[in-house]
Amino acid sequence: MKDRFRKVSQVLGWVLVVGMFFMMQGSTVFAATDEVKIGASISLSGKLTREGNGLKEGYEFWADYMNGKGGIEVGGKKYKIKMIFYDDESNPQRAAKLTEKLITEDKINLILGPYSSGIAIATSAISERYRYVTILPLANSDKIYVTGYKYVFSILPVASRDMVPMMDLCLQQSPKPTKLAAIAANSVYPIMVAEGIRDYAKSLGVALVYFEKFPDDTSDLSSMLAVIKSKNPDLLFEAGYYEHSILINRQLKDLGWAPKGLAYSVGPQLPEFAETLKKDADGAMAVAYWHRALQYKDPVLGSAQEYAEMMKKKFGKYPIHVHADGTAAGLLLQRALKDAGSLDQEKIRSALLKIEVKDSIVGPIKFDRNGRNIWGSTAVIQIQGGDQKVVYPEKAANAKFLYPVVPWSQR
Amino acid sequence: MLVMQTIVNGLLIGGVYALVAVGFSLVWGVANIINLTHGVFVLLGAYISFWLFQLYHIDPFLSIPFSMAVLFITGFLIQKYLLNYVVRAGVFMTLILTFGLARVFENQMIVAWTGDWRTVTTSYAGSGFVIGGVSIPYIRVAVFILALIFCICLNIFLNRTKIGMAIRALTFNVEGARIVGIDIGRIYMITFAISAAMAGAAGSLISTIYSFSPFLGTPYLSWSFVIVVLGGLGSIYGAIVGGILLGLIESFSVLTFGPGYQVAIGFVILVIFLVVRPQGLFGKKFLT
Repeated sequence: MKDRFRKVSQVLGWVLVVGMFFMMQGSTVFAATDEVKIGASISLSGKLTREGNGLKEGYEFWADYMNGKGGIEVGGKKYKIKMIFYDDESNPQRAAKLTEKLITEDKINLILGPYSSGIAIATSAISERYRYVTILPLANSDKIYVTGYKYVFSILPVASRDMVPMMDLCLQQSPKPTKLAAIAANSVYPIMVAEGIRDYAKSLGVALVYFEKFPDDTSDLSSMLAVIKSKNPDLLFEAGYYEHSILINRQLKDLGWAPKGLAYSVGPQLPEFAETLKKDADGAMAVAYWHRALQYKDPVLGSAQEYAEMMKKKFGKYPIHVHADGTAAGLLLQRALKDAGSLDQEKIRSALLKIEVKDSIVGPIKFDRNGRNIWGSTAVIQIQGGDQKVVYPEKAANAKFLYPVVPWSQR
Repeated sequence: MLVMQTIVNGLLIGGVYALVAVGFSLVWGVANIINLTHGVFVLLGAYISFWLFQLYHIDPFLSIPFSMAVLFITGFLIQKYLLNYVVRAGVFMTLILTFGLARVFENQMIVAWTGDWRTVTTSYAGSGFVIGGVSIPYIRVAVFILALIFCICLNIFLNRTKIGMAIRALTFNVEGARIVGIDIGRIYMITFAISAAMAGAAGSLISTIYSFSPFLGTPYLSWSFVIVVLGGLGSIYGAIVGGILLGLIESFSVLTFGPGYQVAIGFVILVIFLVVRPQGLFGKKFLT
């Protein structure tokens, strides 16, 4: 009995192994039309799920739009775009593994970048090793661009300058704010933003009364906020992601205190911020990497507003920066391919280093030797009456900046 | 004034911590089951309250009995059809089984409800009263009081009812309990079910003050471990004291060291206790 059991299980084992071997072959060779495989590891679940899914939609829009026009042109030939997405679960180690899988197993031709600097650092290490160009639409921590990587290109301007326009706006108000509290989620991008604003504030003589990093996956910041309240700063600038801004906003309300100027790096950029917090969202500022009201225009796609309307038709909602920067990355890649005339990574890289995009749906793009977009800039939005209003730069502003923030009890 | 606020914060959150840990402590002390699914039970309670609020506008405090009932049944079934078979095989087996269960539940939650972070925002969220410059939100007080009430009720149940005393008998001597005719298997099931129900209640309360996602099972579980070591295994008072102690320690660590060390300090204390007083403040020595 035991012998027979052993024999049967041996046979089953082999069947399993052989079966799995065949299953792993996957779909490789049979492409009916010429296509270009583009891989992306994106945070479709986990902490960054909202932002990640938006980025995926941005990429998909570009792929579907260009495929609708017959594909993209490389070396005089048209290729259909085939996007391959993997979910990195907002986890850098997983993203690195998936990037390696895309390059070695799926044998993609091109890579498009993930969401967030923390994840991009992990995937860039891999793509750099295999010498694959990666355009990073949403990973702008300065740290990535000082490591000497040659194959990464950021659409966004560097993080350390993100909150500078907000500080400038606040300093124009009267009474002039004199005390700043800056906090950052303990992750690559937020730290750069917070350190950037700290250094900028110092250079302008604004007193820094509190500067701390808080755990990225915390569910309670009430103790830290109580300490900040006791220091009574005029301005509280937070650098983190959507979840952090929601937590901080709610716990500030619990504490019954709000600074005169309140800014988050990401939160209010997502429509869910105002939807979830309702009148408690009013007054919050955010860095705006993109807004559909900005006067940008792309030679292929049209103006930012036209893009926004097309996205609304396709996905049922207006795009925000995660979508626009994703689509812009696709368009940039497309232009680099046309300039390079081939799918060779080295030629694409040279093309990107030479490229001068005077205008696109996210504005001008030009890279320095380290892949930073030196022509890029950010805007500032503020939630007013539940809506995102652009308050800076003036030529795109559709509302006046409100300062100070209305205290909780008066809402 | 800042110190007072810190004390209040720590105290209020300590009540919730206590309720999260009390079921975990009970099951470990009674049945020698280290239930790694406990954190996920808390999460399920939170999700139940969230969906009832989202879809049917049921106030989260009113949905507590419902989440407790669902978790009670879930715990009962898990014990009856899964854990009962490995209880005799030792602690290690229950660790593996409950670990696997936790992952299964976690991934099902991701599939069913996505990784989005959720929270229950009632119309009265954020309001509170201010005494001497210290702000005390209504919801946190309500949560604290309810958490304590649940713990006290559990204690009364364990000391004044027949089933409760049978449960306690098992913590002293399993053989003796069998000899006097206690149905061990059935008591294990009820204990596990009660533990899950407590976790469910804690989850419902947590949904009103924190955000949560399917990945938060592990932090809730860590709190339970630390509190069990601090307060002592199998003791309800231990869980209450341990919970409040942890809340205060975390609160003050933010004041003293900064927010980055909040979680680490809890575990430093855990290590200290394990070395100096492993049975915690009120518990018996660990079974191996």
